[in-house]
Amino acid sequence: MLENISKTYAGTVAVDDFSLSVQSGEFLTLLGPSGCGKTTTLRIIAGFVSPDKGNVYIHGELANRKAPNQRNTAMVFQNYALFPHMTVFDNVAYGLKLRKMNKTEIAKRVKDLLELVRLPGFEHRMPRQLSGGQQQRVALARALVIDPDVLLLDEPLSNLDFKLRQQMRFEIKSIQKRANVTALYVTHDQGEALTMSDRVAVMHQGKLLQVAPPMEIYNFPRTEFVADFIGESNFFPGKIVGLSSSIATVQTEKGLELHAVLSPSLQAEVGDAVSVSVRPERIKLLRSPVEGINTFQAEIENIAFVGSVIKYYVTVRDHKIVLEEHNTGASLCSPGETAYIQIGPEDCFVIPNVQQENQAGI
Amino acid sequence: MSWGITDRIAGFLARAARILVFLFMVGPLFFVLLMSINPQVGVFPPHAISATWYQFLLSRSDFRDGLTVSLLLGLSVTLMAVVIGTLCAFPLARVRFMGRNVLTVIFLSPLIVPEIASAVALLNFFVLIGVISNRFESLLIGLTIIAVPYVIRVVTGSLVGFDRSLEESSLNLGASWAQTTMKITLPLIRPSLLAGALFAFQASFTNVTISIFLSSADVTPLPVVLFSWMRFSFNPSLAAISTLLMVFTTGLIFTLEKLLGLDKLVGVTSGFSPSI
Amino acid sequence: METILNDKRAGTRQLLPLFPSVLLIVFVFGSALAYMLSTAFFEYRPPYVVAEFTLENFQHFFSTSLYLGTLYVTLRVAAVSSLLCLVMGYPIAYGLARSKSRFERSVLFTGVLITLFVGIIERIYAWILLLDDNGIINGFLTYLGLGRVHLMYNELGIVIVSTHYLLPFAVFTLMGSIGSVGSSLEEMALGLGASRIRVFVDITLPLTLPGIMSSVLLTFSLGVSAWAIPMMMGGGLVWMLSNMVYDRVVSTGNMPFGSAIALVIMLVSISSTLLLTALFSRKIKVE
Repeated sequence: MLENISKTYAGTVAVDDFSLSVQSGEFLTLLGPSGCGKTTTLRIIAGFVSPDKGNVYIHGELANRKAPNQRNTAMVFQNYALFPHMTVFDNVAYGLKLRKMNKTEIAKRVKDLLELVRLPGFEHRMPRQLSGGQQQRVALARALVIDPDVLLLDEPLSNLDFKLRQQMRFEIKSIQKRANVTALYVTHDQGEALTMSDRVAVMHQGKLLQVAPPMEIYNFPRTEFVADFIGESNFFPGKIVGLSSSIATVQTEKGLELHAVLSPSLQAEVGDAVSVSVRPERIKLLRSPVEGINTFQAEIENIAFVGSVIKYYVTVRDHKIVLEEHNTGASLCSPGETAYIQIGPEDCFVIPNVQQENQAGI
Repeated sequence: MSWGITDRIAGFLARAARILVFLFMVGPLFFVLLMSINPQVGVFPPHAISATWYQFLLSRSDFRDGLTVSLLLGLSVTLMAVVIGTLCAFPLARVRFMGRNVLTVIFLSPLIVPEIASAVALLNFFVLIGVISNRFESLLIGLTIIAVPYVIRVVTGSLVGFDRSLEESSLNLGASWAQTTMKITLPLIRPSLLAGALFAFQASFTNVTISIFLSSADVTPLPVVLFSWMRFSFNPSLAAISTLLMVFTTGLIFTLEKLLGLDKLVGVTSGFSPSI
Repeated sequence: METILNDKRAGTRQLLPLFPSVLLIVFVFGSALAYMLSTAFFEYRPPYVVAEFTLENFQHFFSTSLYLGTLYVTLRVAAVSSLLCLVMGYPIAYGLARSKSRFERSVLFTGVLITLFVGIIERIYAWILLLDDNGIINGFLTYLGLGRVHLMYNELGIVIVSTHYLLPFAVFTLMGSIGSVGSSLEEMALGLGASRIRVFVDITLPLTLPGIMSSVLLTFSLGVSAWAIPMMMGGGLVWMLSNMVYDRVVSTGNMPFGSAIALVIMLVSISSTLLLTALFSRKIKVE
């Protein structure tokens, strides 16, 4: 399944020059904040919105001109969109009846699929009798039963409560794997994206910022936005003052010097304006000074106890930094005290400054 | 909670006012009921209960004819009004086209224009184009014009709040627009369709002004029959028919309430513009 | 119909279902109205209607005391009826909007709805039974030795019946307004120590003013168009504009003049409706 440069407008630019290739059987998530264009992109694939520019290919065929009921895509809506006046059986069988399958075939397929989504025997219930999670699964069954080329999921879990959401993540993923169908998933919840996907595509303001497997997205964010959106990050804007092999020395305005890793795909030169991104859990907090690069003295401003993790809010040379330590039971420091932090250069990433985000590409 | 004296008086007065006004509204109808079962003319309160007037009613041929005409007319008008009204409700509710607001007002105008004006205009017009010889047809057209706005109001109301993702889902699964409308949309707005039908029926069945202007000796709807009875042969059989119609109307109301629920019903009925 | 749901443009195919209504209402109804309105400007030389432009119908109307008197009566009756409707309808509307008891609301609502749905003929009949010189009320008064009251064939009778007929509209309009104000404001005032009367005067009344205005205007414009009520209750002694039209058109065949009167009715009625709409849209903008 391919999808090339598609661009829409809707008054404001909704999707901007977006290109993406999705593999067969892959589970790919479009991740981004509300309004970033991910739902629009999904609807373009489904055929509810037609792009101003660009093409959509499904199984190598150009799908632009095809009406939504002529493409072999199946969508699971945020509100499930189960037909309230039909039984579960009729709901699931709807697509099959349209394709003029014979009755016994239909009955068999519906039964199989209800088993797949782990709702055997639910044929005669009405949607209003089902819980949210159950409705979700019926919607999935209904979509999968027609053997779609692509399964499109539009924030399907946002209406469920927390525990159920966790559960359904695995359900959906396992159903997808068992059915071996290509899935395109849209969400603003990074937890979902990271746990479920084979690849994650981060979108912002209509543009695709980065697409990569979850680990890579998290550990090697390409742009400031990606780094900020996924997990938490500390940012140190500054200028490159030194370069050697893959390590850059960045100096911030406030005089802090950091040695950070430079991603090989990034073309950087001395004098470039960049940001260094560091994950809070990668910063070590020490009571006494230690030798080494990226070691600084820090003032502890505040401590937050967040269950399994303790967050320390410290200041280093006028930089406000958040760091996380596992809760080992021993409290390390208290506010007002002076301590030391150390960051391994492999945990610092050079990210181009905001203006250079366009060049991030894929 | 103990209220002060003024508050208690105020509360009492408000309650009393409610009851009094309620009696004012419903009382007269109640009297009609009583009179219809009173065998003696002009005697009140009734000394006996009898179905005399009902029997008398049924024996009168003009009553039977009038009833037949009104029923035929009512059903035809309802059918036409529902079809026409529902058809145009879809574009009105969903498509943003130029002049939509103006057109909506125009479509609802039969409710706004004083019925006497509509009646005269239609009579005049039908004479002009020579339709008036077909009395039933002209009544049909005239009453449908009055009935359609009700259907439009009810159906657009329910279409506006309609969950379109259901339709999208249907399309997505492979249905055509026609199939989607038939299998998904219409079944789900069925309550409003029925309510619109009932409103349309009531509007045509009880209509006086337009019916009088467009009727003739051959085609006389029931309200016109009653009207002439009122003027020329005032007797308690009128009470009988009035009671029957009231019972029938009450039945309609309960059906409507079942279908739409209390509050929606109110929103729609406030658009009523009757013939008075 | 269009296959693309989110497109805001309108393809002509989508507008097709409008056609029957357009035919019916715009063409048939519209033409009929237009024709009638134009007839108002035609000359009447019995028994022919001559299609020559003239204002004599209107001149005649506005210069004859009979017609002006009728106009005056119509306006007066409609005005009194609407005010009565307001005063009487408010308690019911309040009960419907605020009552905690489901029973009370159902009873009130059913009562109002039945009154609304029952045909005009039956209601007039009911009132004739009550109001006639030999009717129930007078019978009762005579029984008490109090003498008779003339309630038929005069303005009073018409006002009573009009009020009765218009009451449901007043109630529904007011109910909407009272409902949208919300009881929390009143409860808050009560909590601050105001008496119920104070609460009503200071809070409820001012805030429901738009509803009051629309109710009055609605009932007024409906009252002006009254036809069956003055026909039956007026008995030839009291004339309102609508039955004047009937008389001129049916008895005399003077279509131009009848149309002219109808035009006057339309103007009065529609201008008050327009006023209502203008008020409403301002209200919406404010919110």
